[in-house]
Amino acid sequence: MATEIYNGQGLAQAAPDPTLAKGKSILSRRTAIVALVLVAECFLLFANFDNAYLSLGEGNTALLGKNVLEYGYPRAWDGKNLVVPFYETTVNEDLVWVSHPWLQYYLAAGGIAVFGQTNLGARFIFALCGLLSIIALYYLTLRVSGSVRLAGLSALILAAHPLFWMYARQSRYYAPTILLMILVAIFYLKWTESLKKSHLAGFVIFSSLLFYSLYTIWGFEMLAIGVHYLLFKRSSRSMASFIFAAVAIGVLTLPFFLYAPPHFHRDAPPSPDGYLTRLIVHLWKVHTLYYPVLTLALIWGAVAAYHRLKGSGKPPSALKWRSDYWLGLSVIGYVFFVVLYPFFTTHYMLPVLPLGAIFVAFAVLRIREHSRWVAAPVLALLVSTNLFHVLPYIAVDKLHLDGPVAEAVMLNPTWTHTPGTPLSHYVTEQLALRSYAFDFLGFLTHDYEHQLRGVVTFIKENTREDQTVFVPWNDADAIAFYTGRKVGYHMETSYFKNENLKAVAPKGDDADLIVPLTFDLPARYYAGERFYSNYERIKLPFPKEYFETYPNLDFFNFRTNRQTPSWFYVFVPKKGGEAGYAENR
Amino acid sequence: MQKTDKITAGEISLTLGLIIIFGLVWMKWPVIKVSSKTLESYNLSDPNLPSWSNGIGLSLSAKPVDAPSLDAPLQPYRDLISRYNAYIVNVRIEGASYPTMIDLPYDRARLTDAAGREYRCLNRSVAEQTSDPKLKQMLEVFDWSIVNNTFTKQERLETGLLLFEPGEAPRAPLSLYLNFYHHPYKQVDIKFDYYQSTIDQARSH
Repeated sequence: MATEIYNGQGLAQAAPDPTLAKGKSILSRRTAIVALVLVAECFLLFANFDNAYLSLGEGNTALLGKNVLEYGYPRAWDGKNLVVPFYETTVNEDLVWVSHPWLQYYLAAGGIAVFGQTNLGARFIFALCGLLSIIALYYLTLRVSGSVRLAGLSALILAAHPLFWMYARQSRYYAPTILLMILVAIFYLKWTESLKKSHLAGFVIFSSLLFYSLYTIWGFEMLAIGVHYLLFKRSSRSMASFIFAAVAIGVLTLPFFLYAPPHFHRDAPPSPDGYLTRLIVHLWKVHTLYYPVLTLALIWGAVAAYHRLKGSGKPPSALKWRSDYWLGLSVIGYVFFVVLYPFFTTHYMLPVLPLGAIFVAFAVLRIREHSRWVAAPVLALLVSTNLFHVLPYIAVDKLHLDGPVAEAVMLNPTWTHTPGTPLSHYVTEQLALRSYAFDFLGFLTHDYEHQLRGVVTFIKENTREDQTVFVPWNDADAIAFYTGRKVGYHMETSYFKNENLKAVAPKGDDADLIVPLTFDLPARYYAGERFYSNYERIKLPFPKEYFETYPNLDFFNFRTNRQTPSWFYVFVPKKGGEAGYAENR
Repeated sequence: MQKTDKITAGEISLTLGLIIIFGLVWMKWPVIKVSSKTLESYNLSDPNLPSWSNGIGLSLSAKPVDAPSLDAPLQPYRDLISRYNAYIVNVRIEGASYPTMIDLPYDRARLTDAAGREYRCLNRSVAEQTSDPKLKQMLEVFDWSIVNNTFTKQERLETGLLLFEPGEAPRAPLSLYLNFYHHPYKQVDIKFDYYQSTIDQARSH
């Protein structure tokens, strides 16, 4: 294959390779590869949605999406159920959800309108956004780098990333954000080259949509584009249009920002306290679960140094630095900003996925310029194992580097909402060589039994639509979405100032069915007299495994957990009690 | 990239071949633990109350109990306890900023003696027969997950009573096997051995 150079208008063959057939056959081969990748990706993104049920965030999106169909906007209270407020100010006085931008709720509504209140309905459009992201990344990388090979490998690395599969399959803002980040950059760059109104319109529309998907990365992408334009693309011919675009985006986004300014948990506002610790944790999350940038850089450096020592010199490279790469600073700026928020959830680093794919592809191709026989195994290890990702931690363990210095610069990367276990626990218990890619394939092709599936099935089969169920708050939205029952959950409302919210919040835990799985109570609570006297217990034969596992790779099991207890209790009122479960059986 | 730097069939074959090999390795060993070190340890300094710790805030201990040596909360159940091989199990989770959650299912608890005889855990059947809520709670407390409160950093201490078949003159040492699941990390097997002197000691108090 010859080196293909993209000149902004189309592909130009820099120098035809005489050993290859004509361009047509190259194109057909390339088309076949692209088709194969996209077909495989369809399987990875759309197959077996029912295997894992909606996680906490997905349940929120799905239930609000259902309410969008009813009210036209994401109303938290539908007259029966209150979408679980993550904290008081997630819902305003009118009981409208205001702590997240709304695009995800409308996308979910679209899927639910077509496919119903099912996993497919909740997730379909998001997976579609994931699929389109791969195609979009190809074109963005091609435009930025001019290299078909880099563009193809970047798209392939994103398409082969198990974390990308995981996020793109979820009914949450993840895949739309990735897609829109890329589309914004593409249309901005297209406009700077063509100055066409259609490209400017695309830039304005996709920028505004990105705001409504995740406005933190939107802010940094707008900033990066503004600086990029002023430094590299400014011209008297385009300035007025650029200003118009900025104003248009402002008009399309500012009203929502004023209506629903950022809200935070009362106990966890953004704070510089602990900033460095959070930054370190998130950077190691990026390394262990997204892209092993440090290991790759070391391999790249080692290969280059080896060839320099051998006297081979620096090989000529088609991968040159271009000013458009500066747009990537938006993601880096985002990473350094978002860790002000005092949580450790892995998906906060989501915008790293597309940019990281380009970096990794770039590094692999640079390694290949030194030695293709090093690059091939590097690529294989990258896409099918986590060896490079965890190599620094393996070094700590095997070289006995654990100590105060290691503990200061290398933290456990699996911290989630709260700080996690110490580094020593990660290294001795959690650190493992594995293949998330094959794990994921196994997950897609095997039945996955889990607690939420058991609960939903039981509720559907054993309760009436007018009955009330009390469930763990983290599953409440999903259960309301799947079953349509009135769903109660534990929520502390004593400090709420929002009287409307207080009025509709669930109260107490009496119900026609109680799912007594919770993080918040001592074990003896459910072994107390009240429950012995008033309820009978029913064993559900599903794994008692209810750590919030699905949204991230950190703790997801991929296969039915056989190590945890194989059943758990639910409570139903005893016959003759107030509720009707017993009569309903 | 150089102009003639085409991707060869060898490179593609090597990459795909390695991926297939890694897939085969995964089929045999889906998770390969790296470290041979552990933070876990037993504390056997008190032979009557051996304990186990995971090194990051979780500890379990178990003590054989006999009718004469009962603590106050167990005194009302002297007759009942005298009919079984009874153990008091303590689960302690220190307050911490990270969650520790375990499940200790009764159906995985075992007691064996030196002759290899196994004594079944009878908590379920005894609990079903009693109407005493306090006793029920002591016999069923481990049906519920035990977790520290990570937001308030509160510790958690749960104590349960394990009742095993009495057997006939069990031969020391008696070995108590507890199996629990430490969410979301792993299943843990721990074993406490009680030698004759320990058992006698427990029964003579």
